[in-house]
Amino acid sequence: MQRREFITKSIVGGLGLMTGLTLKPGQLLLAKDSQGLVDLAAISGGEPEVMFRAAIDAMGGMKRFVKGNQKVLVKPNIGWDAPPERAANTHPSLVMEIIKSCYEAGAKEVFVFDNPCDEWTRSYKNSGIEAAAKEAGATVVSGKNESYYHEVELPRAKSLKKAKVHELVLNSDVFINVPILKNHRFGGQITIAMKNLMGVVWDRDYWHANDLHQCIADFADHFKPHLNIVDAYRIIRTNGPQGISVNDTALMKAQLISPDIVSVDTAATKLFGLDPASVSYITKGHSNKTGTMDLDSINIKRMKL
Amino acid sequence: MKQRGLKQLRVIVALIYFIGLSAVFLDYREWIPLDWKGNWVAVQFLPSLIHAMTGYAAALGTMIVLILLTFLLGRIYCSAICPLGILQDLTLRIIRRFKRMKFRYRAPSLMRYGVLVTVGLTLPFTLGVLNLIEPYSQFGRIATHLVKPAVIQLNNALAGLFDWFGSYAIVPVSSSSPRWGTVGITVIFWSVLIILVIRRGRIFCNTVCPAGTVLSFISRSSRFRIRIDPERCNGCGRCGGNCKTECIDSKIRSVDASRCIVCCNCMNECPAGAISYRFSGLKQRRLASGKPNLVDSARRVFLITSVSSVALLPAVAPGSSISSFAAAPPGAGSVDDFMDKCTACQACVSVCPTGVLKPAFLQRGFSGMMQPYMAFQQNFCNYSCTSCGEVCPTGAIRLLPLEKKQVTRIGIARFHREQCVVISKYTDCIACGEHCPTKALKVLQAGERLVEPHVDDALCIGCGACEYACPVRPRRAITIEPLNRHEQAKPPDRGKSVPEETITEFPF
Repeated sequence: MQRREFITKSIVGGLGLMTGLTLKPGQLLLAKDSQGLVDLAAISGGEPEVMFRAAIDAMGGMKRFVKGNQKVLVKPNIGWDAPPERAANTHPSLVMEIIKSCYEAGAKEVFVFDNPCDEWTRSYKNSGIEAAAKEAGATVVSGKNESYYHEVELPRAKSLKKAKVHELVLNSDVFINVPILKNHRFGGQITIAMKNLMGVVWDRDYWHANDLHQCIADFADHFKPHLNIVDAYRIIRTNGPQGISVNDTALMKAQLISPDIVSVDTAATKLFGLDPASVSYITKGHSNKTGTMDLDSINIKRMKL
Repeated sequence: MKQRGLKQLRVIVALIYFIGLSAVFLDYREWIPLDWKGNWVAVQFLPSLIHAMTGYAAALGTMIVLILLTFLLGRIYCSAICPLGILQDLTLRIIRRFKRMKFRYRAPSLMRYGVLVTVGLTLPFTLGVLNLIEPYSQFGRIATHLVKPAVIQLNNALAGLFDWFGSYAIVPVSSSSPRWGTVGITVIFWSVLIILVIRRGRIFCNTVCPAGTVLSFISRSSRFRIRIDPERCNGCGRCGGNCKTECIDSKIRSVDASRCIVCCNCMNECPAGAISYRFSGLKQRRLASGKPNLVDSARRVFLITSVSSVALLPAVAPGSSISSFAAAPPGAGSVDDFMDKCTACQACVSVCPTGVLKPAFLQRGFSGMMQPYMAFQQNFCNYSCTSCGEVCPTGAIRLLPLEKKQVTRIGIARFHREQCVVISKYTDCIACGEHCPTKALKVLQAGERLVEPHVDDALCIGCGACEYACPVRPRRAITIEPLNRHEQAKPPDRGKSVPEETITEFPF
């Protein structure tokens, strides 16, 4: 069913490239955001699941993003074979709570996957995410099999002209991106929502070898998640993105939610203490009009628990 | 007739062990616990012998038990524990469905001593000759390189079918492309074995197999053995016609205990009920033992020994110069030690979760053929994994405590700066630095908003994460230079804990 759906989508995409694949409900919603809805919710001072509940309520509830009978993809960062306290992966309690709220909003099925850097079964298990997601009723899918990835063209891209994308990204109704805020040792020094999308493609080598920042921006421009939830409960300060020990992490107890991937990365970079203008992929995302870095132009709800 | 159940018992024990051992090699999703796998492979004769020689007490215990068992009961090892033996029996069973098999008594060939002497002569220089014919390792290679890929293909075909219907219930498993050298050798060996089985039954076990030959020395004087009661025997010869080891001379009503593997098939075939398995005193043993026919043998031993020794001369070349091509896994101590102990059974290859362990073809010369090496272009060694050490039956890979493994340097990362994306294209990458688990890969400022990697040798353990992650082709910009003798690396700097960062006001 899904594969057939995908094939149909690809054909449609091939004919009317931009409409077929990239115009998703989220973008329609974005247009409505100016009418008083919150564009970005920032919250601090609580446990991940508690902060999420308060923040998503402030955004207008999960029903704003997930409609009845929809197929939802929740994409956390499960990049590393590391326990939750090392903050190399998204906090499992947050992932669990998101899945629950999707089902409460009427989702038909919620899927979870990542294409980890470390051995995938160990990353899924030791991050605690596999167990948490299953407990919440999600279907946990492998991201380490090429047959799940399908080649898609990115017509507006400057560097990443095509990519092999996981079928769950291609055929889910709602795509929820759940990165964790971390130091990263590459020139941008930080990994958040846009960089987290590297986990939904098969061939990351191409990105690394062909202007990484441009590829990150190109991909985010074509595959905008409907919602981005940045886990900043415990963040990696040094030796990111995997860290060596708990000493690389700091307890920040914060969370950011926004349908705009550039805004959420801008806000998170500031929260981390860096200048978003120094992070090349964020500025590229802004000039591509993937989203906006101008936080004054959007409706931000700030909360403290 | 009373002992009819003995054959059934043998078949049941053999099947249980065989299925268990096959599961160890075919388990492609780490369903079976590692300690269970380790125990299951630890009862093999030649691997245990090698392990015992390194002073490992448990393996010494296994050896003693196996030797005592053979001394007491005969070569039941060959019937119920040797996986290649059981595989031959299964093959025979299948062939028998299509073809009537008839064996006849043959005088023991002294070729087995020739092979044993050849193996013995080469042992001080190489394990290569032993590894080619060692039965358990042969089985391991058949299971790992021929059967497991088929199982994975089947799994993936099913997963694809489920995926088509929108279900993710079956998890597809990535399988690396077959290594034709390894597959080729394994196919050739298995084909030869099948032909031997069709023509001469268990001839491999009594002419080629070094374990069989060693055990035959012991079983020659085993206490319990198959005997033909001359009073009851009617001389029909059915026992000899059904003996897959061709060791029953029904004319003189004698069973060659050195070659008999106590399969008990003869017992159930005998219409007169003249064959039994029973305790034999010294006198009876002398009477019953078949006298080897020495006419053709001496010359044959000489021929085989000299021809094979000459043929194997290139193998005896020292391995250290070759070792630089292929790193040995942590726990091996050194590439040389590893090559001296590994029988290339592929147990580690089958349990390696990332698939970084791959069988060598000619990377380490003939001596190291089929012995695993770290194929860093395929994958890298998981920082928190010691699976290979848990299963190795020969002690070629010792089980290191995790904290020791994490500081065991098996190679060292070498950065080829001019090839690095940061230098050649002046764009960001740091894939290597992101993957490095010890942070031996430091970053240096390479320009505004650009960083380039730099290896801190003291911290590097040679896990290969950087080489694997490097996107540069065909030659990668960072590669692992294998070390022959493994070293201890500096433990990674764990830093000091960072205070809680309470947010008083959002900075936006």
